[in-house]
Amino acid sequence: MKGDQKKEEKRLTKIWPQHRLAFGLLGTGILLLILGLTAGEYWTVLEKAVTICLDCLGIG
Amino acid sequence: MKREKKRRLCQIGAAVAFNAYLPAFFQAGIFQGKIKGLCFPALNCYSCPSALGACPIGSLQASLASIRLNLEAGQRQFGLYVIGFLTIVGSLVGRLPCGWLCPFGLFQELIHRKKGLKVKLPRFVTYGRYLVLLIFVIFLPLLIMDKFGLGQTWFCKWICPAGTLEAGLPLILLNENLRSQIGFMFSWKVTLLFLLIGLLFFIDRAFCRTTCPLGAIWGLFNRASLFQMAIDENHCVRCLSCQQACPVEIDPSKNPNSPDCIRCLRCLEACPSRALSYSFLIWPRKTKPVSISQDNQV
Repeated sequence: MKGDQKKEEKRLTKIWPQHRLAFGLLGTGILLLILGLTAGEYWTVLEKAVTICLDCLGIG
Repeated sequence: MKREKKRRLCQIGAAVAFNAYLPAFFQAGIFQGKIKGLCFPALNCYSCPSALGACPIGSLQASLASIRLNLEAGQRQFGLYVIGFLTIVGSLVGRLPCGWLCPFGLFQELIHRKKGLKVKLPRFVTYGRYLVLLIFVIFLPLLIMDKFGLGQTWFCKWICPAGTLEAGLPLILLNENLRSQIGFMFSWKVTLLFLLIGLLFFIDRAFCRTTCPLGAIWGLFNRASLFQMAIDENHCVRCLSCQQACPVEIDPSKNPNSPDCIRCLRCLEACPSRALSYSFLIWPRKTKPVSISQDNQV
């Protein structure tokens, strides 16, 4: 049992450095998303999305 | 319920949820609600009549293509909303939406025949998706302007077969005005779509592996995302069952977090010794390894 616990701890400590990077990226992503939203980019995307995209259709 | 069945249900559920506005098919137009500015985590064309949300790749190109014009108009828009969305999804689960949510991925899986002739893709072809991402999604929309100062969505225009399937064909069939405008571009895109369908009979997930820019972006996050695959080398018997089950022909026992991996988790199901596992944050592994000797393997 103790051996299993130690192995599990070892596994977790092994993957934590990757998690630090993932959390860093997640934080960056949230920051970028908020910056984009405050700059009004949601409405730019919406404007594009509600118009029939002739390029997508192959007519543009 | 087996994981593969759950995954199929998840894919169908996502395809229906992303394209739930069915009345649009009778109006020969597209859904135009205010929620359509939300990006969905899949290659799902926003010009599909019933699409409720935006395609992140179409939105990224549109944002990059309009940077110069926006700056001239005094707006500081650089496509950060879409880049932020892609980064959040990537850092959480990497390429998992490709395997579990993408409607175009589901379409490819439904066409591919598991039995019969199979063609192995050369490794270098899989780098094509990075070229498509760099050239058609980033550089061309950013750099080439038309006479109005606007860039174009080059990937949507010249390549995207999801757009042809989900938007082009239905709208051309439903809308007479659009039908009268079809020309070379439409023929080109339909030809590409049918070429892909032909390839899919022999190559599973051919588009995801060679061309999809969304998969290219999220694949880069596979090694760093909170969702991680792991191999217990003490229990792996090198039977290669995982490699045989893998739709994108990687060897999960050597590289479980490869950028090519779409995280369908078929390899977990195939592994007789349960040496493969996944974790999200510090959630423990879902399966306990079983000891199995190599002699017992086929």
